Amino acid sequence: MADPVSSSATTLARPARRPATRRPATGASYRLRSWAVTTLLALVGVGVVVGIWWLIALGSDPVRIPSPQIVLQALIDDWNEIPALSFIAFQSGGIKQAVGYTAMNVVVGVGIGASIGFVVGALLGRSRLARETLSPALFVMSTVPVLILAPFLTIWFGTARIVQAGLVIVFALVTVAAVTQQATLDVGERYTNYAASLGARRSLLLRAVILPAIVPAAIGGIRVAAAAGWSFATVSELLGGNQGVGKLIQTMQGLSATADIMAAVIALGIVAVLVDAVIRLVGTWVVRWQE
Amino acid sequence: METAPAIELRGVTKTFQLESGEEVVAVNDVTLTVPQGEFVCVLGPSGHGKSTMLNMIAGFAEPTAGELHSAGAPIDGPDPRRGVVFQRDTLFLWKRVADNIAFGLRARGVPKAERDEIVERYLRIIGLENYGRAWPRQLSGGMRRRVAIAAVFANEPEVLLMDEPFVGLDYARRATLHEVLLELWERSRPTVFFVTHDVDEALALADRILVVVRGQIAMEERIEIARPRSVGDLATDEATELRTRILEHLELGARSA
Ligand SMILES: Nc1ncnc2c1ncn2[C@@H]1O[C@H](COP(=O)(O)OP(=O)(O)O)[C@@H](O)[C@H]1O
Ligand SMILES: [Mg+2]
Repeated sequence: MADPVSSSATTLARPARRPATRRPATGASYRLRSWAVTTLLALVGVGVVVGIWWLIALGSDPVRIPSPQIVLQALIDDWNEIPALSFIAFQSGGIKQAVGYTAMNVVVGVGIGASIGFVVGALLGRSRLARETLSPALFVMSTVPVLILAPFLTIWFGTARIVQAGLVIVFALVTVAAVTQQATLDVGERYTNYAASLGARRSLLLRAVILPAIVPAAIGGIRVAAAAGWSFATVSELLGGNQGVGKLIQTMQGLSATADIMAAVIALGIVAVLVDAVIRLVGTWVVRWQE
Repeated sequence: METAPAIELRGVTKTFQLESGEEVVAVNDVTLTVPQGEFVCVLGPSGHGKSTMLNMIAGFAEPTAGELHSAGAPIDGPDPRRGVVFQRDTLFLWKRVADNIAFGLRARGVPKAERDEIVERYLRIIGLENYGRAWPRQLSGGMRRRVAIAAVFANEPEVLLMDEPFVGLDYARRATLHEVLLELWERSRPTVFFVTHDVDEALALADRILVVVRGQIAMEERIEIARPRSVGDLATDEATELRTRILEHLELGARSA
């Protein structure tokens, strides 16, 4: 039976284009174009910086400020093996191993810290009791610079890997917990009331409503934690590690091997950019329902 | 309890304590009976207790005094037998349209195959059969309200509580939504408690209009005109006179607020 209501509703719906057919046509090509422009601009920026660096290096002592060519050569020559490193420090391999070690500390550290932080934040957001008990203590803790932890970690764990990843873990935990708690509080009664009025019990409410609602904020927190993680990991190594980019920098400083220091730092920077890109890509997909 | 009223309020009062210590009486000693299947529209100036009343019926809030019952049982929390549509829709932005409509069914453990079938049917009724896989953000305001209505009807509530669900839509969108709403209502005949501040909307939809002023029912009118009601049906002398009377009550209430 053709009822007047649904047919008139259909008429109204028709002028709007259907999302299924529209998205691939304009959306993808638009995204491709904006991606190309962004990439081009980024390359121009890199080119300008390298150009200025090169000009400055022209008039300087290569030991103080090595030119881009020298640094590139150092990156290639010392990628797999720096003999001096195993001699002076107890570190084998070259820039590759150092960058790999530091990157692993950051990725795993952020992974562990963010996971715990997410659970803690959601708990604090959901439970008033937990919030009122823990918030003051957490606030005091969050005002203490994370770096203060480094000597303690060394005293407790010596040169164990947890010392190098410790700062990363703590920072990721605190950052992700803070944004997740706020996002959980922001979900608001309207959504939870609505879900309850449709018959949702606690577990479905958590799984299908609260969790997806707080994920965007958590992803933002993870990006911040990962970005800062590189500094924390490297500084931890400088303060008392025996591997990684931080240790490499320290060792090479003693040898005045500026080119190796810069090569390692640049390699680490490139890895950092790649890691951020992966987080962003995954994040965008996870919250593809957003604007 | 076939004959128990769908909604029953006995001496219901709700007071809020403001931070200043001052007390606000949002709902003041209201007694009200809504028989099963009735379409009630609640009109009133804003801030006069309509939403508070609806929230108590939904089970979101408890009364300070008095009792609320639904189908003979005391109301003691949200219940899927009482569906709610809010003023700004509460579609889950992270769920596709079809999953939004299926949410209540999923919550109540309806098997997937059956769920899909029901969702399909409701998408057709609201004229969005091609939008099942769209995200809510891809829909216009009017389309979103249609989905919100379908989501609650798909759950087959006995009572439907709607808090200014069509605010902010233009005349044509709203007329379409009225048609969709009445079409769905005719099929399953739930009891409807529909809050609005638009007199014409109430006249187009209600079996009975309640005017709420300062937390009390200031006026009550039955509307016997057959549905669907055309613009002409609502322009008769009788309807005009009724509209005038209601507006006078609203104006009085607004002035004394
Ligand atoms: N949670 C609350 N806390 C304090 N006051 C409230 C709260 N909810 C509603 N009120 C007050 O109760 C009165 C009635 O509000 P409401 O029921 O929302 O009115 P309406 O829906 O008719 O616009 C208003 O004065 C409002 O400020
Ligand atoms: Mg209201």
